Amino acid sequence: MTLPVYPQGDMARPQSMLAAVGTMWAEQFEGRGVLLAMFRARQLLYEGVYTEYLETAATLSQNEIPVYHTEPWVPIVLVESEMEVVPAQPLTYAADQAHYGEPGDNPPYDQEFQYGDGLTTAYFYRFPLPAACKSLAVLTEGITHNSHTWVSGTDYYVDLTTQTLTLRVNPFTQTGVLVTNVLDADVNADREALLFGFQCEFDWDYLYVHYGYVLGLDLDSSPGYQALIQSVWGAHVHGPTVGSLLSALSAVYDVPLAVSDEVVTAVLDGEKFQVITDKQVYTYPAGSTAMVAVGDAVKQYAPLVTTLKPMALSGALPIRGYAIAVGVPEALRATTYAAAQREVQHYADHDYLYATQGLSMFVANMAARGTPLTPTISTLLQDYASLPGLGVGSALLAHAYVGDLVFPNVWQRITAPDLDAYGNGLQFTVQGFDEDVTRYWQDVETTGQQELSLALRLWVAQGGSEAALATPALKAEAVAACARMDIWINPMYFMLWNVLATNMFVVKVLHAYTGNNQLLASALTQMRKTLLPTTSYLAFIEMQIPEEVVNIGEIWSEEVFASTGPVVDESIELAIIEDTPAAGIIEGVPEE
Amino acid sequence: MSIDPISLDDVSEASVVARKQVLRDIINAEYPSLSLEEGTVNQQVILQPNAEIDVLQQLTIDRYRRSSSIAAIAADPTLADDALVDNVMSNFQVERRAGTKATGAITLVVTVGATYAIPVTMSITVGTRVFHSLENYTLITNATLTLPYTILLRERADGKWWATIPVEESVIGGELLAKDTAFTLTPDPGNTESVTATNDFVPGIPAETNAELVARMEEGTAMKSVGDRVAIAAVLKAEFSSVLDVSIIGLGDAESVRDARQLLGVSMGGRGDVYTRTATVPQRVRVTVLGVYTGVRELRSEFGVSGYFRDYRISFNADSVAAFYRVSDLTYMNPSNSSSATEFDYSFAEGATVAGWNEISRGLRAVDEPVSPRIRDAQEAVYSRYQGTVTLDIEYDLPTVNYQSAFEDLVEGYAETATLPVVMGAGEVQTLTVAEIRVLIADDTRRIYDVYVDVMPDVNDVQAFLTTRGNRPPGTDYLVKAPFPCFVGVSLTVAYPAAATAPVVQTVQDAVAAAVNALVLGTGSLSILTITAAAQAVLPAAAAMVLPVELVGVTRLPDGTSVTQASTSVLTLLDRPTMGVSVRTTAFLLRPEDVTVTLITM
Repeated sequence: MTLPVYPQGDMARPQSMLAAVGTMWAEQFEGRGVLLAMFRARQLLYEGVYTEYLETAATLSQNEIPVYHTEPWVPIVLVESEMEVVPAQPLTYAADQAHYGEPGDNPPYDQEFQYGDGLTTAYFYRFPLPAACKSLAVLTEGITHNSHTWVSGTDYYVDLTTQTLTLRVNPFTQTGVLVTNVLDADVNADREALLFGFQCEFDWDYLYVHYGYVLGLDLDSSPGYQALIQSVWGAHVHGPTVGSLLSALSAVYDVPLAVSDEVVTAVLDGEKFQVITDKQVYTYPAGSTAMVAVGDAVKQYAPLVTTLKPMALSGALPIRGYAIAVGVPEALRATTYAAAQREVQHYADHDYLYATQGLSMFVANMAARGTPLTPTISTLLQDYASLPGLGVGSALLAHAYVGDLVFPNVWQRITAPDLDAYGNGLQFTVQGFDEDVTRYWQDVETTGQQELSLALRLWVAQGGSEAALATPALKAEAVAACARMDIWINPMYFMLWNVLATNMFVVKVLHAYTGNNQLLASALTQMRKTLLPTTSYLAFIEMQIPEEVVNIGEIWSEEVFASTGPVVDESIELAIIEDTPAAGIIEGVPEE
Repeated sequence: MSIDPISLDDVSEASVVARKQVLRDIINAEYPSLSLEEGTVNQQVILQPNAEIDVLQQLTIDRYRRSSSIAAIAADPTLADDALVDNVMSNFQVERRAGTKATGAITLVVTVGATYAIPVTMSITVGTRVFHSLENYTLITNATLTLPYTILLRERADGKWWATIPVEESVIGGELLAKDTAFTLTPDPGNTESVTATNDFVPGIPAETNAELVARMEEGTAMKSVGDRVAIAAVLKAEFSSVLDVSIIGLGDAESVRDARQLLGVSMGGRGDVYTRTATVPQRVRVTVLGVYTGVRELRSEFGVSGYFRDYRISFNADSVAAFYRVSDLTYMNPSNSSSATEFDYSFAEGATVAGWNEISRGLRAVDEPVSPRIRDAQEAVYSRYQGTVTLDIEYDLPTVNYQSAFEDLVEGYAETATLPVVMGAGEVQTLTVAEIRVLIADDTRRIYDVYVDVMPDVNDVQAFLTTRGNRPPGTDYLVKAPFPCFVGVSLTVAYPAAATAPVVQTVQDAVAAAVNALVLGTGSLSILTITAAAQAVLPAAAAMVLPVELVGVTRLPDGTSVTQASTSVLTLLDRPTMGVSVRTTAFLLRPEDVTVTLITM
């Protein structure tokens, strides 16, 4: 928005206005000083009109529209009967500081504090803030001539939670402040103190009234709300792109993305974490971790810190989720071996690292057969390795279960599964309520009877002939071969690769480092609008609470292990939990 | 478009006072002795007018700013001008939907075959609603005449004559009129026996209100393509005037069934279900189908009739009834016994009441087209164009007249190869052999039925639109369906002063139906507050609603079962996501005649 400049024109020059009314008034009239003062006052009012005019022009652009309306000068009338006197330094509940209680409990203070007492005898003076007022930069007792200039944060503070204004001094005792009596039936009933607020901001619902209502999106006015409007609107105009989705998530979590194609020039970590490019300065909470380095060229929508990290599933998964290493029929071994070798080589060629325990064993098996492997380092696998598992709720499940199902990120070895005639019986770890897990595998096997069982599908994927399964004898032989399988499966990778990879991607959010202006979680409902209906995303929200780290190894009990709840399962190694003192939640797109 | 100037009456005293405080502070800072207090000349001639002018300026700017926002316009009566709203909407490429008139056809039955004039000025009325013929028609009995705007009168078996005349309502937005609704003609053309609605009328659509426009604005911002949910809704509404509401279910939605039904039971995406409401209430369409005799049953006393029942089975499957909900009525053609020495009359009079029918199955329909959505079974296909053959078992009692006996008397002495003229339907005469007639009468293995089916129209066309190569994004799979139906019935009582004119029942029925049918997909419940507000709005001031208001909702699930709910407070839609049923996929549907209005005096 264009800011007002001074002088704006003739209306801002009292002398010009005086001249405009005539030479006699401007040069000869003895009371021209009064006229000048009047024109000066008139000019000040005009400044308010002009500011609103500029704001009005700015509302035509969702990029320029101001979040709040600004008034250059606002009379602030403080009513004495509404004044609340509060301790300047309130007590706390902390044991090592002054608090309510007996003198002996209050070292180094030897006094007993009662409710309402302050640490010092100083007091502040609290008044209701004018309605819809969001900020008050400066308070004075006069506009052009004043002896007091009180500054926000130093001489007073505004609490938007309680919508109050708290002054360090009592305005009714300050010289220069106009105090008037309020009469009620000719009796002094109250007193009012008149102050003037400079550059006061008021919430006139600009964002909702001009843009939010179009999207059916009604949030409190804030820069984040504005950013969300821009991103959802952009998604409607430009289509459901990754950029649209990320920019909306960026607005919700207040984690800025690169706004254009830029080059990183500095990364600073101090009171704030900053990524500076040749075009912008991006600010994040201290302690954030950069995803970029000085000299990196970043593209629009690129995440600059690890706080908000998209992880595409399609085409980039480092591992397929299963590996049949030994025990396959001799006739198929060559095919299986060759297919696995090609897969390994593919990822080696694409700079992926095989570091997971199970896969390492798989790699070891491959190496034992004389297959040369040249894995190189990538951070990609580390992204997935930090996920504890894939939680799937009712929104993604074909059948109804009591709770969610969790497919853990853990490699497990399955040897010689006990299969029925359909090849049903191959199961991997799924966590959840016992009844749910049992029912889940029953549902899988029911489908396996009607179509093709999980074991037989793996058998086909490893080179078995699906056509041969039409012959009972050959099918029985295939099932027997499956029963001899020695297979490594990672349930999370398996589901990601075989079910979700094509139409889903993951967004990892480090909640501890999201911005202060993040929006309510309900704003995530807007994401549903910005996606192709046939696609979705998984939000992995890592809730880090550093102050409450516990040694799980000490408190973990057998009873906990015996829990049938969906969170804890003995197949999750303690080492992983200890290394990641965080709760991971993966959810589908929230419903509107 | 007009916006009236702001009056000084609109200026708030508080705003003026605040500005006077600013003026007074600045002037008195330099000239403290200058008296500017209330009641002084300076205050009255300098501060007061300057402050008021300043407030007027700000109000003018404020009004200008709000005039670009429909939300602000709607909240401000001084700005609520349709032309102003339309101007703003043009920036969103959204045009106010023009209303349409209710249309349909009436069947006129006259006792004498003659020539009748049906001018457009003739009032065809039902209650307070007035219709007119589409053209100045002339009804004639001479089939060889082919003059413009002539309609042939046909003779029935009972000697009366009938014709079907297309009509439309005089005003836009009229509610549905049910088949067989009786009309009055003014002036009467003469010899009128009856005037009834031939089929359900297509209800009119009222012009869009400002609130409805606001609800559509987001779609105005979207590109008109098969992109995200908002864009798809926008393009469908732009292409099809009948599309009133759209709800799209896809990956991540619990109701998304098609993408989860695979071995591992977890949604894999790639498939979307597009629920489109293409009419305020389903249209009632007549389908004529052949029934096949399946046997005789014992007495079924529960139907309140005596005798034996003959069961027939019918199946139908036609483009015209794709996405149909239910069979709402069913009659069979009853051969009347007006035999004579020279001919046997088998003409089709109005059918006897069918005792009942049961839907046996609803199949999956194979459609020969290059690309179809992946559908595994009939449940997934329900209410879509891929909904397949429907089979009904029909029960009715035997005719009281023994046709076989009458027929044998008639043909006594005739050879089986002898031929007789047989009056079939609508005056059509066929020459059949005795043997052929015996098949029709004595064997009675086939019957012709008129089946009335409730259908959500245009679902086929919407499916075709989304499937067309020019519209379909690669790799996507969209199945268009009518919303799951929650057929609503309402029973309410209205009290009015005995001395006053009774409220018009039809008006109340229309208002209540319109309010219920206006609930968009995603509205989870129907409260009696919606009912009472709609009814009260059209009732005379002295009339009042009497509680309780009874609500009944019947939701037909994809597996063919129905769930009935009743309440005197609120109906809440079912949540069966594993069947695809939820508030996002289910619509409240209420026909005006399903609103029972009881009038009492007070």
